Amino acid sequence: MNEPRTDGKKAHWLHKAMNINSIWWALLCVTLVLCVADFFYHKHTPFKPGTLGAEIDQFWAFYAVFAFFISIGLVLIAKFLRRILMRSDDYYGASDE
Amino acid sequence: MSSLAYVPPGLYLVLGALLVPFFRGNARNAYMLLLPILGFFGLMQAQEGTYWQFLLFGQTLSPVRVDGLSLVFGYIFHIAAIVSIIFAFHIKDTAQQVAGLVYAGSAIGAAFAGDLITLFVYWEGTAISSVFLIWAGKSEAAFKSGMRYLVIQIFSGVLLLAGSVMHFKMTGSLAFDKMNLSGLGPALIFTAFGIKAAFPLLHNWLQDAYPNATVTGTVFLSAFTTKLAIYGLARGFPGTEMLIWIGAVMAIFPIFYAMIENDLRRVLAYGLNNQLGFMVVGVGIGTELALNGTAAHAFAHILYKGLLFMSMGAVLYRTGTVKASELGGLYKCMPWTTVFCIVGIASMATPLFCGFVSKALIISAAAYKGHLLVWSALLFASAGIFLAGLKIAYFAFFGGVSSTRPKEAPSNMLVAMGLVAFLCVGVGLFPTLLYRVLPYEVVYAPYTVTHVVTQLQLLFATALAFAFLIRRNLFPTQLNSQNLDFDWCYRKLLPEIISRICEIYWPLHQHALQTIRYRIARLIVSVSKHHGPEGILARSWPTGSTVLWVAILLALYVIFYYL
Repeated sequence: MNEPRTDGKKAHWLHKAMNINSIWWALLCVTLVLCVADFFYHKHTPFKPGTLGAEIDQFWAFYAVFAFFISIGLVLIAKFLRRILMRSDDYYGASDE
Repeated sequence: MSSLAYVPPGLYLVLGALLVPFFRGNARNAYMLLLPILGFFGLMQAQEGTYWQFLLFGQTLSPVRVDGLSLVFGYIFHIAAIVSIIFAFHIKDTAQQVAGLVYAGSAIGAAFAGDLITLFVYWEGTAISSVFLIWAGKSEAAFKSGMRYLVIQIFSGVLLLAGSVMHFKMTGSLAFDKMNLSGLGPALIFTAFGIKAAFPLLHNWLQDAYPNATVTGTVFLSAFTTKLAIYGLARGFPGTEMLIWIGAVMAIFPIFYAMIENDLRRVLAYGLNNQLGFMVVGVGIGTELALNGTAAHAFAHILYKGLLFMSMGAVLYRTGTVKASELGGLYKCMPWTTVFCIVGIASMATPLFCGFVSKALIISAAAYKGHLLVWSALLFASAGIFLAGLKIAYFAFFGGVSSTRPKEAPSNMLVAMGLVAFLCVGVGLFPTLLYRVLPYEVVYAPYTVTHVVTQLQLLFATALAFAFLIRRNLFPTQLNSQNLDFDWCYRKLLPEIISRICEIYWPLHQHALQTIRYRIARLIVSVSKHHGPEGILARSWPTGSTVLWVAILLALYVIFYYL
């Protein structure tokens, strides 16, 4: 409440920008631009030419597609694992608090 | 002669710590800060070579050996000590201050140890001093996890000593150099390093102890123990193929836990474990590029992981909790801490920050060697850990439900975080500064168009996936809970087995005891029957009959004599 004016302004600006929908669209646009960028430069592969690694690495937008799907997979698998792994906070005796 | 001829690195801090109690207030802080700064400048003038050699039981020990590999670790350990001390300026607890200095000094000493005995001494030094940073947490949980930590760390030291003795028996040398993983001796040393490097299944001491240490203690802890083990592996076992696979598993499995863990300092501990995996892979590949990558990444990782632990420490200091389920919206009242945390997350892998220029060396080295599977595992791990970073930032500073609005972190914490953030960006912008101190010559350009674009694709797509999951409410809700990990085996299973054994054994024990008592009682009864007051052997005999018996025996004796 008694925050300095600059802080108040900043919070206001950030608060507006913190809308998850606008972040989602902004990220989508940037990612697409980065994928399109793949057409405009020669991609140097660290793998030996002709190997499977080189082919995968050269695949259009490989890094973006790989990261997007593997991240979602990771979270969903972790969420599933929690059913097996999660116990109450005092499982080992006294709570951590 | 270099300055190392006068004071071995590390000893500045270990011996200097003994004088800490004689200073008060700001003088004490200044004195503590002076020690690693002196050490750092001493190191800058150091020339490669071995110093302070002496004979012990006919063996030459070399407590100080300076070369490219030990120097990188020496530099970063000093930097870590400096910023951790600044971060802890507000602390008045002498025990913690002394422990922190001895701990940092032991780690530095170990990085310069030229023989296995010196290494062992410093190795145990880090274990014993660091546990006080956990116990200083002063809760029962801190005490118990400190105990578990101490047992495991000391055990690692015992393995190191046993392995060193066997290695000496086999080779006749105590020098700490590259070893073959063939005999039992090197295998024990390898396991000792593996415990401290938090190999899979040997890792739980890390996630158990670090979140229970004090706000400032965890910052110290995050820098030294595990990186010292990485140094040990890089020195003793470069090019050991098994390490590639161990490292790959290490890089992947902790990120699943990082996704569901509620305690944000524990999320960071899992993240630390995952990044150690990258370094272990680098040691396993063992090429000059990979070993450079391991050293560089240890350097960068100490910086940005320290920064992240500092920012979470600041949150814990101000709000009293680092549970994702109890935080949120802190960017409004802790803007600087938020910015520094974001720099820490960006430093994991974003171009222009330190993690990008170090991690790239290891990932490229894996690809150059044609390790497709390991390469994809490292990409997966890079995306996964960035996701964990986004989770931390989101739940602590942006999303979340908490309406707690504490003050910004204390100024000493902000200065420490600012310094580290500055270094993270500095190393990212001018990677040659870091590359110059690496053990081998670096022929690598991190900032090529391919690298930058593909890395940005990876990161933005990960962020996109995070936004997608949050938007669709698919991200796991943060819940106050315990997630079972391998420590379940020794915290639950083993005690359970022991108590079961006791359950079975106790009645048997009781039964055996009763039988023995019964037998003894019967023995006493039978003895007293013959020897007791009424017993046949205790009866009184008339003197006359005794004389008669003596006469008979005498007669028999005389008869036999004449026969």
